[in-house]
Amino acid sequence: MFPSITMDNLNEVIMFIDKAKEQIPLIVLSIFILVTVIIEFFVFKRIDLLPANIPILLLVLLYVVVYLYRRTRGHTR
Amino acid sequence: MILFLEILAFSLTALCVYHSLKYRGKEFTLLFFITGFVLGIVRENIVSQITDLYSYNPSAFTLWIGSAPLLLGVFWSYTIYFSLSLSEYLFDGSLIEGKRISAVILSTMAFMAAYACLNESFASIYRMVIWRFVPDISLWGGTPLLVPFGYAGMALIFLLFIWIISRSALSTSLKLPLMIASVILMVPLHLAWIGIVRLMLKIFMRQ
Repeated sequence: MFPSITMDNLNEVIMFIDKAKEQIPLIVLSIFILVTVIIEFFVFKRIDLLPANIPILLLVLLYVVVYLYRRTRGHTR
Repeated sequence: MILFLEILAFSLTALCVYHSLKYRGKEFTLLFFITGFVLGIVRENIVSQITDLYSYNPSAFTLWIGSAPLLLGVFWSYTIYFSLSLSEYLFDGSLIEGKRISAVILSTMAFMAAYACLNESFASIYRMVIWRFVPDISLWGGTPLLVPFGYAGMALIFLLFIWIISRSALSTSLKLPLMIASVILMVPLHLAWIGIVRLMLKIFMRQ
């Protein structure tokens, strides 16, 4: 049995896609980080290179924390 | 694998162009991405043919324009774009409106420097870059310490030109050729920036 698709569901999906579009720069950066880490760690087993990803990961983490903080406080841009 | 990475970079640049068109408008997008393309190709050709810094490994890239991989035509655009966008959000600023511009540019430089560490160590796996000098201090993957400063300097110079030209009273049809022509200033300015950083590192850290 499949859940029925209602207008509310569709509106939620559309709102989610709109929110995702705003975050394209973060998504692009995250994809580059993810691909880099996967190739370094799983393909080439270059564990010695993994610390090079820490500075950008810290900045992304800072961005996510600020984003979540503003969302919980109801700030919009 | 390299071809996959090149296709990925072009696809993600297309996403950035879409985002820029939707949230920043046509004029900014044209100025930013077309100038970024010209800057990338011109700069990398000059650096690999004239300077003693580095050149690109001929076997590491698929498509080329002169001595520069085609990938470099979009590389500076998308890296500066996502760094700028995240920085503007972090500081609630805007480059074009001139709102908290110092904080936005400094934060963009920090993002670029951090991304340089990731990108250059990754490039070392495929030997994409052939360094022509031996640094005393290297980061991960043998990347010279100079490189993160180089990325940050590129963001500073590019964003200052974008800011100055986009705020001028000229029409878009005049701003775009002016912005593209300004590449002939941006490249020597960036090389001068690298020269100064190199000298400072030599003095303070004996690089």
